[in-house]
Formats: sequence, C-alpha cells, structure tokens
Amino acid sequence: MPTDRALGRRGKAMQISPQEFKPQARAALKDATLQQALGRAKVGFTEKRRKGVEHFDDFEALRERGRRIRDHALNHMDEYLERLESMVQAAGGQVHWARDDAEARDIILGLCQQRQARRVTKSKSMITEEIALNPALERAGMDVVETDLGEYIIQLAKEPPSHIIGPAIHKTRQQISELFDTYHHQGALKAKLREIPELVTEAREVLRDKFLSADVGITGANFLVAETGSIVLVTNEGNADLTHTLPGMHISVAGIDKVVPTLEDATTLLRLLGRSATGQEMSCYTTFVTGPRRTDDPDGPEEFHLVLLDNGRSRMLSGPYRDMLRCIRCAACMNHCPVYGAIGGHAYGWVYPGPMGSVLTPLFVGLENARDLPHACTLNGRCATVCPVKIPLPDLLRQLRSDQFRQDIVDRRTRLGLRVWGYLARQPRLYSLATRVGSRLLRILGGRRGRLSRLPLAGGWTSGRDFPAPQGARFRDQWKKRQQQRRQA
Amino acid sequence: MAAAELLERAGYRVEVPEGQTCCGQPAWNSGDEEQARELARQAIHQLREFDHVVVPSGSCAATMICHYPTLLAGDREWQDAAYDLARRTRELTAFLAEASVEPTETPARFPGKVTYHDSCSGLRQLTIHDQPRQLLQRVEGLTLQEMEDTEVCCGFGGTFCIKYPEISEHMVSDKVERIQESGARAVLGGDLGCLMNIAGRMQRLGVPVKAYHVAEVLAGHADGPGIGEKG
Amino acid sequence: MSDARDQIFRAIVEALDRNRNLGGTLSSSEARSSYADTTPPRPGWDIPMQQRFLDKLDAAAASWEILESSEDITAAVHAYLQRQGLPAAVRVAEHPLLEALRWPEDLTVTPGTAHQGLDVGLSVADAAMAETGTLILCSGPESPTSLVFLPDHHLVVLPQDRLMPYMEDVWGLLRERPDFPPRSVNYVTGPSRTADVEQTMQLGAHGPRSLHVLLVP
Ligand code: SF4
Repeated sequence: MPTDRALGRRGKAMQISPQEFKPQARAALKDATLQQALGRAKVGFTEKRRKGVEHFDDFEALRERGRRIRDHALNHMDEYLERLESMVQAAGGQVHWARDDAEARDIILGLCQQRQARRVTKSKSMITEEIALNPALERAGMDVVETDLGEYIIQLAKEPPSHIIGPAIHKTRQQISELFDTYHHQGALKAKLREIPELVTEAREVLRDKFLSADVGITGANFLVAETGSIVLVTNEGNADLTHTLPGMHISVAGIDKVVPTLEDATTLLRLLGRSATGQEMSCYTTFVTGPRRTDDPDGPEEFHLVLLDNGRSRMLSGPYRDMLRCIRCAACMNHCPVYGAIGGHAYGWVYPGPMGSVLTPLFVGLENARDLPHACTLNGRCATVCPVKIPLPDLLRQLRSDQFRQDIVDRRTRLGLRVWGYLARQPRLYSLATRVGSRLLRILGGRRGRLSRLPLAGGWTSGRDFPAPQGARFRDQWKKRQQQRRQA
Repeated sequence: MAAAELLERAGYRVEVPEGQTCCGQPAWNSGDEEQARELARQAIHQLREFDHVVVPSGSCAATMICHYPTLLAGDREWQDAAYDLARRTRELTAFLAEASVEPTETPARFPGKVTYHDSCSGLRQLTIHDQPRQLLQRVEGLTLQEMEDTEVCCGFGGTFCIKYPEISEHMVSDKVERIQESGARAVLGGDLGCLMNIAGRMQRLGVPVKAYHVAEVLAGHADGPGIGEKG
Repeated sequence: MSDARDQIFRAIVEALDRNRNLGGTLSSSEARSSYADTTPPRPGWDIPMQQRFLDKLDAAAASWEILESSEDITAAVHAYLQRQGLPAAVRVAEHPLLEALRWPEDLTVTPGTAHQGLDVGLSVADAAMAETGTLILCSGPESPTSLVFLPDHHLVVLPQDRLMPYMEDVWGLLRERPDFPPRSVNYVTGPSRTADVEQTMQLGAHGPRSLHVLLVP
C-alpha cells in the first residue's frame, strides 16, 4: 500500500485525492476549458480506435488470444519472473525487487546517487507516478525532466496526468502556449496563442539539451519478456529511446504483473495495444531492451537496472480481482467511459483514472480511502466491450461495492434506504401497498403538470430533470381491473 | 400494459404473479449481495411455473438472465433453478422477435421520425440491438432515424443518478442533444429507467420530443402523452 | 533486498497455489501450448508482400525508393540531400554494406554515432515487416541506436530479402543472430510524431522528422 507521501502528489496535485471525488467531479463539470478539451478528446480517441479495429479481420479472436496470454502469464507468474530475472542478469543487467512504493523509491534514489546524477530524464510511465518518484528525486536535489511532450507539459503546469496515455489531454493549446511562454520565454510572448508545429518544435529543442546532458534515464515498461529478459517500450515520439540510449545508466521500473512468456506473446499484445489505445496498427517506436551496452556497442548505457514492484499486486493475484492484473494500460476503457468523458481524469484523485482506475485505486490505496470510486459508474458496460484483454470491469466494480458493503463502509443513508426497500421488496403485500401509496403521493405532488420538479429524498435527480409522475393507475391495479373485467365478460 | 397486449396478440396467455415485487437489481448493484440473493430466490419461486418469463425492461431482464446464476452459484438448492429461470426469461423485444409473430390484422401506426436509445444492460448483456429495430419496421408510417452515440449510456445507472446527480445530468444532457440532432419527434427505448431519465431531462429543458417505451409504439398505444407528460 | 524478493515470491506462490490445487498442475510450457500452438489472429492482405510494405510506409508518412543495385545508394543519398536542401554531409553506420560503397568526393561521410545537431543519419535495417511497414534495427557495432533517433532525417537501407510478412517472422530471423538478443531491437514505423497538443498529429516530436527507405536487392 502506498505511503502517505505517495498519496500527496506534486504541486496542485497535493490537494486532490480519491476521497474528494464528489467535489472534484463537480468542479470539473463547471470548468469550461476542461469541458472543451474533454469534448475533443472523447471523439478523437473513440474514432481512432473504431478505425483501428475495423481494419482487423477478427478483432474478437485477437482479444481472446490476448486474454489467454495474460491469464497464462499470471497463472505462472513465479516461473516467468524467475526466468526474466536470470535472463536480465545473463545480459549484464541487475534486477531489484521492491515490495512497496517506498522501497522502489529508495532503490531508484540510491542508484541515481551512486551515479552522482544531477539530471535525470524520464519517459512517461504510470508506475513512477504510482510510486511518486519525481518528488523524491527532486528532494535529493536532482533535476528531473519528463520527456514525453504531454508529460512535460503537465510537469510545467505542476499537475498530475489526467489520462494514462494522453497525460495532457485536459490542456488546450492556449494553456500550453502560456506555459511555454512562462518557462521558455519568461513571459516575453505575452501568452500569445501559437500554432501546434511551433510548440512541438520548441519543446523538441528545449528537451534535446536535457536528453544529451542526462546522467540517468528512467523508463517504465509496457511488457517484460521472460524468454529473453527484455523490456518493451512503446512510444510515438521516440523519447523513451533517447532516454535509455544516451545517459550512462538506464533504470526501468515495472510492475511484476507485466511479465509475458515470449516475444511472440508480446507481439500479439502489441497488436492489441496500439489499436486499442490510439487506433494505430503499430506505434512509431516499439523497442525491446535487453541489458546494458555490450562491449563492442558504439552507444547505450553502461548500466541497466530493472526495478520490479509488487505494491499490492501479489495480493490482487490471490483474490477476486486477479482479472484486473491483465490490464495492459491502453486507456480504451476511459476513452469509452461516459463518466470519464464528463469529468476527466483529475477528479478520480489518484494516478489511474476512469474505469480501470476505479478498480485499481481502491485496491492500491484501500477501499476506505476511495469510497466513491466503485460507485462512480453506471455499470453501462461499454468499457468491458472495448478492453483488449476482456477485463470485466463492471463486475469488478460491483465486487468492490459488495466488499464495501460487507466491510460496512457504505454511507448510512444508502444502507438505510436499501434496508427499507429490501424489507418491502421481500413482503409482496407491503411492497404493493407502499408503491401504491407512493405512486398516489407522487401523482398528487405532480399535480396537473404531471411531473415533479422537486422530489423529497431524491433531490439530486430533480435538480437537473423532472421526475415523471406515475401516469394514471399503477400497473398492478390496472392489471387487476382488466382481469376482473374480462372475467365478467 | 402495452407489453401484455402485444404478448396476448401473439397468442400467449399472460399472467402477472400476485406476489411479484422487484428483481433485486438495486441491491445487487449496491453491493448488498445477501439481499439480492433473497430477492432472487423470491422471484425464482414466484416464476417457477411459467413457460416464458417476459420482462419489458432490459436491465431487469439482464439481472434475471445474467446475474441470478452468478448470484446463486454454489447454492445447491437454488443454482439450477436460477439457470432454469434464466433459460425461460427473455426481454420483451427479444421475445417478440424470436416468436416471429405474424403481423396482426391491424398493424400499429406511428407516423413520423423516431430514434431509438439502446439501453446499456439490454445492449451489452443481452445483445438486444436488432430486435426492436426489426419490430419497429412493422409499424406503419414510422421511420427510424438513428442518432449519434445511440449506444452511449444516458447517465441513469440506477442509484448512480441519485449519488452523482451532476455527472448524471451532464450525461443525459449529451443524450438529449443527440436525440434533438436526429430530428426525431419521439425517442423510444426498452428500459424504463433510461426513459424516465431522458424524459425528465427533456421536460426540464422544454424539449418537444416525446419518450415512449417501444412496446407502447408496437401496441399502437403511443398516441397519448409521452412518458412523464400529463394527458 | 533479498528479503523483498523472497517475500514477493512467497506471496505469489501462495496466491497461485490456491488456484493450482483447483486446476491441476500444468507446467507452464504445457499450459502455454493451449493457445500458442495455433497461429495468432493477424491482419491479412491480398496484394504482393512488397506492395503491402510500401503502402504501409506511405500510411506511416515515410518515403521510399527502390534501387536497382546497392551501388546506387550513394547517388540516392546525394539526391535526397539536394531535394531537401540539406548540407552535403551524412553520418553513416559502420556497416559492411555501407563501407563497401564509394562515396562521391563532394559528400562528407563520417562513420559513427549520432551527435547534437546532426542532420542526416544512414543505417542498414536488419529486417522489415510488411504487416505494418516497419523497419527493424538491432543495436550493435554495425548499427548505433543513436543514429535511429537523433538525426533530423533518417535514411535506412533495406536489403529486400530481409522483408518478412509478420513480426513473428522477424523474430525467427533475428533469433538466428549469434548476438541475439542485442541490447536494443528497434521497431521503427514512420518518423517520430506526437498528438499531445489537442490530439492533433504532428511529425518530428523527438526523433527524426522524416524517414526515407532505400530498398536494395
Ligand atoms: S482495463 Fe482494459 S481497457 Fe482499461 S486500460 Fe486496462 S487493458 Fe486497457
């Protein structure tokens, strides 16, 4: 379980947390700039995936294959991790094991200090967000530079990512122009709105210097290949490759769940990943890194370290949430989630947003620290139909609700309401009576207009829509009357 | 009522068991498995003697078909009965489409453009998509104009809309916009929850589109006020 | 630290044993054959493989030309520099195929790794796949990785017999190398790009802004 330090995040992020889902969501809905950005992202991502999948003959079969690969790897995780470790070592790399986020931070910090690192480049990795690595390195006096453009933008803005593959999708061009003006031009441009190519080129130039002067490069890993001891890195920008190739030390951080048996298995998963994430058949750069620079290599780092993190994953392996460990972090679930589409990623309050986050966050930070997340879903099921490894996300959310109910961390009103309703529903006579009284009452309240604009106890509903008052007699009464009339006839 | 009539016209004898209450979905979705289980047992018991159980609401049907067996798995006494009920249960439009009833003497009439909202449980758990559309083809004068994002959730989600009303409202507003863009004069659906949600929002906004359960249109009863409107 | 390792493995084994006892004890290779013995689902095409490759290069915004002999590489590089209005200088990988070439006098050709401000790099691909229009470059004395990522323009020579239909075939080919796996196997599909600003695709993020492929017999 992450320590408090991991939960308190950098900059503005410090204020947000999974406990505060409701107010954060409310604020997001009112944020016009955010809504503008979200509207664009929603259409963009779903369209791209649709096209990507359309051109594949049998995507369902591919999903099934992906599911089986991931299940198999999880079912034999111990064997594959051992193999992975020995192959990394055989290639001249070192493997480190971290039980939790604090251990992982200490290991990485130690390695950087050993290298006397002043500047560290990073290529986007959700797991380093999970362990809150950047603040730890910064506290030790290191210059930590995010190199994925989106991640770089939000690093300047001192915000956490709001999406697992498009960390800055909540930022508009105007906001990015302003940030670049402040940090690259000391405000000389007076926040002038600039064109996209100009912004991209400017970031490229600024970051080029950082790449070339970095002492350590830190990446995550999309997959770990047991067969060869390779880590797989997928990017479109090429930043991961500059990160691991140029400095003297490459540190890769990965969850133990990322291991897959063979290169061929990774291949199938890559076919799923690109299409599900960005609709691409293949991202621009997919790299298999195995160990450090060889003796006769002209470039590459002298040292390679793989930090393998548990942080609650082995616990997930044993219980009803094992399916979640299949996740390949493609973001399709959040891209197709109407709740995510309405409020964006920050409202979820921790590293992983959207449907996968609503499952993962309570499992990582504790159900009592993320009460709202399992409920922040209509169980509409769209996420599960696009998930490339067929994770039954709605079922897992329902399971979390049930755990919550059992552990008694449901708010009192809900519990009481359910009790009363459940009691009635088990007593057909009473239920019938109650609904009859209820529906009369509603009809009277509804008056001539036939709809209610305020409803006692369900204030939420009626603040934004009317509650249709029951029309005429209740179905049960109508039915009785009809049967009687028939009998008489 | 429209549903019952449709079934009778198709030649079935329809009964509504006296002791029937709720399928237990709210409890199941709120994590109260014990209560959901009890309600499931109650429903299974009450429905044990019927050849077909036809449910006019997608989410209730999905609860009975997809979730009762999960809920009662491992319960020796009830497990098989749950499967048996699931086997006999159909969502209304699925049942009607399967029964492939001959068009009745007086086909329903509903002149004008309508659009159809796929309710999530029906669509994804029961793969109800083509059935209502097929059935609607038999309605005289009706043209189906699909809206954008017809398969995107309307934001109802049972207790969701009570717990997170603002998010729910945002979602249903999107839905209403899509409905309006389609130019339809009525929106049809197969799930009462969604329809109430959508109708409620449309009325609040003063959108002149009516909401009907698909059964109402199929039975030729959609000449009166839409859901939530006063006649 | 070995404490951590032991504890993690103990937790994994405990979690898995519970299941293994239920589902019998298959060795991982036996269990894997339940899916791995069949060809995975993958995209098909009904045009010649090379055509598929070229189409996919186009789709990835890479450019290409087909040369009649590897001796034509020098002229093709020269022409490329002129077309792009670039200085007559190129950094080349120390690959036998390139070392055998006789470069024209007016072209500055330096072997080695890439450096800051490099305009043009030239490498030889170890393989390519038609499935997605991807070039595969393995790090090693004959192919510095920095050359793939630092220059503004990356020119890549592809011997045609190295073109394979699928990624699985590429693995088959690479596994034959004595140095397999090299430090870095790079799958490159088109020039570098980003969509991080307002979801709009922009070429030339951190890696090369253009990628040009020279197919040789
Ligand atoms: S849960 Fe599925 S869809 Fe969501 S990120 Fe993970 S793999 Fe992708």
